[in-house]
Amino acid sequence: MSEVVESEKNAGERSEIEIAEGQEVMPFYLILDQSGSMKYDLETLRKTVEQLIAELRTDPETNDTALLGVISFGSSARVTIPLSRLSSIGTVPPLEILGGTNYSAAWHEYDLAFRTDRQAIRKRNGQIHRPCVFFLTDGAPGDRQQFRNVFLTTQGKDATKGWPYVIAYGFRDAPADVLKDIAYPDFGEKLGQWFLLKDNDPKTVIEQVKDLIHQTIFQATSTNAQGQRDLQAAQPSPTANVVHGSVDELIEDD
Amino acid sequence: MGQLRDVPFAVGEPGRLAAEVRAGAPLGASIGSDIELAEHAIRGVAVRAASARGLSHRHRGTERQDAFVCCWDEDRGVLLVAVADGVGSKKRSREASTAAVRLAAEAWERGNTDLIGIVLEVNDHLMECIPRDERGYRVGATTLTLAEVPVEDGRLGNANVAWVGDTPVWTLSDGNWAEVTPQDDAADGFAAPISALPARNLSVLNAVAPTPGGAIFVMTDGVGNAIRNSVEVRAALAGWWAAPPGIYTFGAQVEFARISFVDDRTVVGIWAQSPGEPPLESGERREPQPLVAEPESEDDPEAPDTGREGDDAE
Repeated sequence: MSEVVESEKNAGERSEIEIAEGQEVMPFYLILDQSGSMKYDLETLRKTVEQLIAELRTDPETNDTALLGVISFGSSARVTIPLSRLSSIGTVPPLEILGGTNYSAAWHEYDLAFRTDRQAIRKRNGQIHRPCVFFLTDGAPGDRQQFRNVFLTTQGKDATKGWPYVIAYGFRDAPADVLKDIAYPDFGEKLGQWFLLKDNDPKTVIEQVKDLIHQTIFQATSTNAQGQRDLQAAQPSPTANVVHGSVDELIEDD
Repeated sequence: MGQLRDVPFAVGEPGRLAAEVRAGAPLGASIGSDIELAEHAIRGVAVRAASARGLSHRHRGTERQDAFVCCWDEDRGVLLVAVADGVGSKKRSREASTAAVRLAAEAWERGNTDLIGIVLEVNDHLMECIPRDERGYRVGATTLTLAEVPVEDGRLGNANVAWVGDTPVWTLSDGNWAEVTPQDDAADGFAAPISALPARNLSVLNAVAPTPGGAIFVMTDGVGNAIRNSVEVRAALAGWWAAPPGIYTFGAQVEFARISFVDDRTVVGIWAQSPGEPPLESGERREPQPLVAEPESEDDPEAPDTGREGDDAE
């Protein structure tokens, strides 16, 4: 809890987001698990996030409408890249180990970041689409009994009109039932989606996640017209070693 | 690789898409043109209409889904404007929008002047003719706004407006924009589901818009959202459209570039005659307006950054 209190001290300190007056923006956040078990994967993850940003920038429509932010978590959480235009993001800083696996810390940090970003966007009269969160984890959380409630009380539809779409990606020791509990929404036509990538090579897995996120963002920004974004989580190829589903279906992880 | 498109107007930052999008191959015989223009002069009132395929659709090689129709009833001295915006997430929404404005115009020309009733009639027709996909969802959907404007001696009477969805009507008088068709703010700024035809238990909204001089515009949200969101856009368009521009200029202005506003654009503008101005004869056009909206003062740091893209390079 101390991390949350610490973070709240910084609420509202964010300088303006670089957008045009009245611009329509689509906020995307990556929430990255940087717990101890990710120790040997962090440089791969950093380079892959850089590559994702570079790839997204090549499409002018995506570049004009998508904003991307990165939040890192372990026992505590922090904003690694504030929500920014793709063209404004330079190199991704080194990713550090942040201790254990506490999803509640991640959601508290996201809550604070999004409220601050939303305020900054509205200062510019910006029109904000529903945010989309890509949540990547490689293990079971230490706060298994708490994190869902933390999410629902800060980000659920009964807590805020700005509730996010959450797409969960897991690998290594991440249990399918946990991924299902991360995904959101659990109502409506477009239910939250989760993906459990079962390849043994973390590099392959991180590359696969990058491609799925890329396709999802590209699809969303290409349907920006008409004021409604058609956000659909990109699906893995049938040959990929991925178990996946939505919040209302749980495929047993055998 | 096609040539870069000529985008003569921009308001503020145009965005990369406006600069980089290129014309592509034709999409097919049933798709229609990228740009549609119309101009009319009725009893001293000028009408300009333009519909342009949005940058997003050009970039992705998909069709324009906006549609408009204007009709005139000589006996009643009333102009009907119908504007529809096909729902982008559905593949056959162009069929829905073009059918909606055509069916509405046909019903009106048959003598039905109950605009809400016309919208419901159109809805019934679309319910029958727009099929569902394998998941049970309609393959096309559209907004629809109808505005009936009395015209006499260069003046506009109160406009009767009926609408479903987010295709707004704005008035412009003495440089001030006012929205006739209020939007639902329940989504608190986040994109809410858009009401569209066809739908069961359709709710049709209705308003009467006073038009004290100036002009009234029926438009799709490709322009309406920009007017609603941006002071710069409101200032630029108020300057450009203080009087009816030439039709080609109007079409190019409807396509103004501004970052993130990449949807199809349709605007039908109806201008009352300015006080002291002789009435327009049919086919007559006012003097062309300057191609660049001038800031109110060169010294004003708050003046909108509007103007012709690439002026600095010329």
